[in-house]
Amino acid sequence: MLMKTKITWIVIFLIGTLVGKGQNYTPVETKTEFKALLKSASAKMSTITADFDQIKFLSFMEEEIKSSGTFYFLKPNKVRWEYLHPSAYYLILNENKIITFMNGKKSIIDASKNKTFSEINKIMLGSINGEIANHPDFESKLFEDATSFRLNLKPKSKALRDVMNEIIIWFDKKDMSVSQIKMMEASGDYSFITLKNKRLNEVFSNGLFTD
Amino acid sequence: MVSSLISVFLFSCGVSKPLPEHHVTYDEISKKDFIDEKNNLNVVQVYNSNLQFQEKEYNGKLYLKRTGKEGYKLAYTTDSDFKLFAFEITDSSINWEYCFTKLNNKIIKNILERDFRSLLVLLPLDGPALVSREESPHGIIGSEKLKIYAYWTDNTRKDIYKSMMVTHRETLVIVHYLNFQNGNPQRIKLVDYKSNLAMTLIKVN
Repeated sequence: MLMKTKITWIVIFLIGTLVGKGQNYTPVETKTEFKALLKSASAKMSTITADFDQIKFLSFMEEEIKSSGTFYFLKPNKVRWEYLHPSAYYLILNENKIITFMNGKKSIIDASKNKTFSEINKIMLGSINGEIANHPDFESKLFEDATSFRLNLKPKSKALRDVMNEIIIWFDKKDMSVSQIKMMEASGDYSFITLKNKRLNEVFSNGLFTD
Repeated sequence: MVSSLISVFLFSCGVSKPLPEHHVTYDEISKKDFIDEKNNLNVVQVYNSNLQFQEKEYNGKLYLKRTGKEGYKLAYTTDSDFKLFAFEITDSSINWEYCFTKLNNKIIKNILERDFRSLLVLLPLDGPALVSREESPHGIIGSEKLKIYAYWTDNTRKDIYKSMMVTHRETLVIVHYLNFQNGNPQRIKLVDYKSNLAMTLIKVN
């Protein structure tokens, strides 16, 4: 058990070193070019379809829970996370609504009625469409390497800091699409999402975001 | 959502139903009677959670890990995986690791402690220490100390059964454990009569 714990922490340390910090990332002093590239790419993109892998790290249990599925984004503010493994369920962000389907039950939450969850909704959407780079409630630092930008965001307000310590978003330089998102919670947990096999501007039904 | 959850926990302090009459005696049964050897107690068990309260539905996730003979680590998250609370619990102690600020008050924490302790005591990860032969064919297990008893509707034990949690002569919650695999319930249905709350847990991993 002790050995397992040690191995877990070594793995976490290595992931943190190789992914979290990034060996070749250098600071970018001005974000003007980055924002211009993001805006230009956003203008050309209407949808994103991708496969995703998610690691949910539970600090308290020293465990990683892995899941995967298909991701859909419809500009400007509709997202569907279709979890396929280890079990099938979905989470939809549709404007101010959070819709989930678990255990045969559909849940619809009006995020606009709760400030904290409204902010979480905005953060998740903003992380995907890149608008979070302009979010006034976050302090941001930009880094880059040969193939990607990395944006580190820390919340300024107490309400957000109660939920989240930091968000790190990786953008692929070739099309400025989001390739990875790491959301570090105030509790010490984090979610690390990798988007792969991305397809831009594929046509899909609006119904994906309603049921 | 958080405000609704707070309401849920606060409303569970309402009026209770009387305890059904019953009389039980106990004797020891073998742990092997109950546990599948394939069950890995140290693996995190993940359940998708659906909570119904006052005709509204909330989804979330429950993460559960055995830490010792009588201990569990438990974390409950929102549907988008943000942790609401986490603690380590035994039949006599609780150690809070985290509680979301808007849930972090004594009343809510006491209710969470009572309800999850009762639920976990009934989880057959360690097997029952006590069983009644009097009400055969319905098996009964439980903890005399905690006043928590479980009633099977099916004496085969591996199949569908339901259980009842009783505290201080009041029926607070009825828990149904359904569809066992490798010693773990694949579905749990919890009904809280005080607050008219129902929670369904379906095992993910």
